Amino acid sequence: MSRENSNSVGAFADDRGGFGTVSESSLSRLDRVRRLLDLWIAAPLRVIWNDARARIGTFLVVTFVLVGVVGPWLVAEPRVGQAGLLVGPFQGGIVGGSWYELSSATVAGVSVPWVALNWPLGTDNVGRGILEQVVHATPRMLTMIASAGLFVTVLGTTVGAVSGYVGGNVDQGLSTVVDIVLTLPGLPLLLILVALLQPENPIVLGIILSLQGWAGMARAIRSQVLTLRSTSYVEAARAMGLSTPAIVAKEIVPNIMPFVMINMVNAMRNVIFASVGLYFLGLLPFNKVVNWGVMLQLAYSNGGMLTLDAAHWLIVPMVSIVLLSMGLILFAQGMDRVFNPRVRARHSSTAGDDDEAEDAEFNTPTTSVGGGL
Amino acid sequence: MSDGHTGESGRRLRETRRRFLRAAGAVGVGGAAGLAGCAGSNVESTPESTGDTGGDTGGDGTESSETESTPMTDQTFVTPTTDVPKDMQFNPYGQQYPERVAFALFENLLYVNEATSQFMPGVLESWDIGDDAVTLSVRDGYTWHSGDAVTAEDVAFKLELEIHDGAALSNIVAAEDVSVVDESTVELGLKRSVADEVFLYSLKPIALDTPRDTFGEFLEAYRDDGEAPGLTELTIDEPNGTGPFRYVHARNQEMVADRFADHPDADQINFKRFRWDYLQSNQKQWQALRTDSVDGIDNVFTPTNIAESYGDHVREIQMPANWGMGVMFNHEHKHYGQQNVKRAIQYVIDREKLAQTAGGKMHVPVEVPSGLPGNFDGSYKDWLGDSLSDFDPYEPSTDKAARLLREAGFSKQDGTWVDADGETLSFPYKIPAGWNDWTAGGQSIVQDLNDFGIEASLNPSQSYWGDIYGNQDYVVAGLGWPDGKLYPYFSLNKLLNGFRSRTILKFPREVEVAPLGEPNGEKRTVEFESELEELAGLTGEAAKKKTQELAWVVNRHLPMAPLMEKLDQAWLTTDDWNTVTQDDEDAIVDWPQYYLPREGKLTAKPE
Repeated sequence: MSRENSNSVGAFADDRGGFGTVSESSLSRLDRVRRLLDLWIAAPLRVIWNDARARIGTFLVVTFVLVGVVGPWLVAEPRVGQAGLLVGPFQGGIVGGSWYELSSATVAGVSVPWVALNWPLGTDNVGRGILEQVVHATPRMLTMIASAGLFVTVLGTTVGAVSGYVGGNVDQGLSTVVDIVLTLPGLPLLLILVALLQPENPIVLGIILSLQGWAGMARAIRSQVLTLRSTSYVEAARAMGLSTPAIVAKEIVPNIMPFVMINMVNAMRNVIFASVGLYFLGLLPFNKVVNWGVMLQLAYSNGGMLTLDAAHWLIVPMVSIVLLSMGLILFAQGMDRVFNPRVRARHSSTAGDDDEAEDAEFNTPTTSVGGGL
Repeated sequence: MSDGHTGESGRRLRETRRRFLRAAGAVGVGGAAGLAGCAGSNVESTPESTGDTGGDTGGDGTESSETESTPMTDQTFVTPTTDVPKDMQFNPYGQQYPERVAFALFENLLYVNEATSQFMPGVLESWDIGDDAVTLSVRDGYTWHSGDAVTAEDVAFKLELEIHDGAALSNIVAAEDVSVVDESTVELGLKRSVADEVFLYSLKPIALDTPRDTFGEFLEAYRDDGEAPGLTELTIDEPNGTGPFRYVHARNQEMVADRFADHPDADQINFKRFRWDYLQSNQKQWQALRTDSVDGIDNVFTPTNIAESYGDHVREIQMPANWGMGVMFNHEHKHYGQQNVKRAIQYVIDREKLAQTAGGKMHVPVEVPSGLPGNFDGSYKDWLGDSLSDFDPYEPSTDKAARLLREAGFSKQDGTWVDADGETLSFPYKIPAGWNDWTAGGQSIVQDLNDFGIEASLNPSQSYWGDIYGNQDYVVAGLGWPDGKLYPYFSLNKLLNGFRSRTILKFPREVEVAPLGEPNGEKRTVEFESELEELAGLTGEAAKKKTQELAWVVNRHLPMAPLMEKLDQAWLTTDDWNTVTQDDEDAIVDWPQYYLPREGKLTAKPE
């Protein structure tokens, strides 16, 4: 009753204290957009720029995405017999060598000088360029890890957050499912599924390879949410009558984002290793387009570990896997800082003065889970 | 009919052998003359004259011709095995029979030179093949490792067991027609007349590995009921052999056998022991040869870069396998049972490029897909004669392939061939995982097919043999098309009539075909079983004519698409061992490290 009265505009129109605080100055729409852009785009970029890990990670990930998107247009498709067999990388060296030659390319009808690189990373035992294979395998690798990452994140976060926040029977039910999935023997299950389905589509493959990954994430998220739901500011939000989706979206999720990111990246890394492992063991069908795991398998089985002649064939996909994996980890660690409101606010030019930053720090529970990983 | 392998066929074989050696680039005029000189000398050979044979060719590359003066050593010849030694069972009708180890422990009835189809004595000293009977003479001096003498009874016992078990010999000889004439003579009654090669090749895989006291009850069971339950389950841990090496022990990682001094060829062997190390993969075997931890390997495909990394003391012995990859179709499949689709696939695959991709040094493309091996030396042309030009060589032609598919009701949509129902022409191309040359070649095949619009993907499968022979769960797969024997009957029988053709390929038992050289002539029905039975008994011109007729059926109907033929690679080291070079024909017998010691051509260097 009294609440209704207090909300009644007419009765206490001039009372700005208590719950009815209103900004002293109003922002124009443009200002608001600028502020949002600053907070969500510019500030994160500044955070990334100021953090070496984030910078390197982002660079690597962006490079791989570029290679995956643009690379296949620029680099010739790998084909059997397109070059000599087992040509070494950088044949003849850079000066006076034969691995490059002056050529010409036609741009908008005009012929311009161009340097034609001849199999700069060498070729394999059937005469396909190694660089060409790595580049043309990248889109499928990225699609696969993206699908795995999304699958694990969406399912794990949803189940974990709902289970942790709603509680009761829902929690029990979901926890049981999670427990069951967690206790399934991972590798045998994977081998059986792969043998039965023989997946060739990278999206399907990504999902199959991460079928178990979501459960661990859901479990961890649930425990995070359980701690968060009893924090004072969430209770306050509940007391204020905010809807559950609003509380989850505004109060809970931002605080578990670093954790989600780290888990997503872990899922992506795992799927890279799992796919490479399965291709390496020859359990997945080779596709039209080669895969890094297939490259490793072929290189290994043709003596890539025994002779220098074939070493480049083994090393190049290995380096690609390491770089992409490392890029993802560094990127996730950097994201931890980006999602930290305190750090972001410090890098935001429109987020207000130091007091506000202090407030932000004060208001933010110290979730160091992500950063601690 | 003939004694051993003399006469016209012998002359032809000698010619073939010279051609192979020339093709392998391994022999000069003197070598060829020397080799030809010893052909045909085996039938009447005694242990001594076998030694002379070695002496004849010694000048052409044998480093150890003076074996008599080579002193005994304590050396061990180390070689790999891909069978787990502890699990080896020496029951030839069971699952864990180690075939390679068996070459040392058991004596074969006879041996054959794979380049020439020349037969050489083993337990059998000679053979006389008549129109309705064959007389086999057992060489004197063989002893079981238990000490009992090997007699004609033992040979007859083994042959009878083989016939009951359904070996190739059972097509020619009935079990009740095996009889012992005297202590060293066995006589076999023939169901019908057969060519010498057909008969001798059916004896080739048979070794004296079934002592009567162990296997007697099973032969009794076969004689009584026609069945011998339990034969396949019989386990033998310590074999009683007949070969030049006697079993000592088998452990987790190694199996050991010692020289058996009572073997008639033991004098030729101057090393004490054979040891098999368990090296399961090609990689491990390559590495073992690189690090000198083995002395020889019988058969492992080795990429050129690996071979070049071996030291100079590692000698490569190339042997024509008379075998190679083909594309096997499942004739029950709605697409791949169609003649036009099979022919289109044969037109699409560039066999020249395929052989290069699989390893040009060890593979040659099939020149004319006719089901006849002999592409290494061109010997298949002798069999086809003037009719060669009538055969379709299936030069790569996507136009011809497209025309065939359109005729069969297929059309191309978005770059892919689909049938009238809109179903895509696609298949996973199954091959055994770990076969490097096939994996490389498979990539070339898949690329050709994809470019043409058939959605093939390469599927090197761990479960390959189970899928093919067990579940028959395949659409199209890679498999060897010839039978490993140069004589044409065998691969024609395998493609048109054998177990594989009937139960795996599900190829029809009879087809309609136009006469050879007249594609538009009136078609005749070819019933495979009777025609191949007929071919088995023919010799000379009649055999040639029938071979051409059946090769023509293969050329038109393609039960498999023959693609390439390979050389097997065996490896011997020479730092501690005296051995032959590639020039010596004796090297081309399965397998050098097992056959050569018997001839005194693989001896340990004095320590």
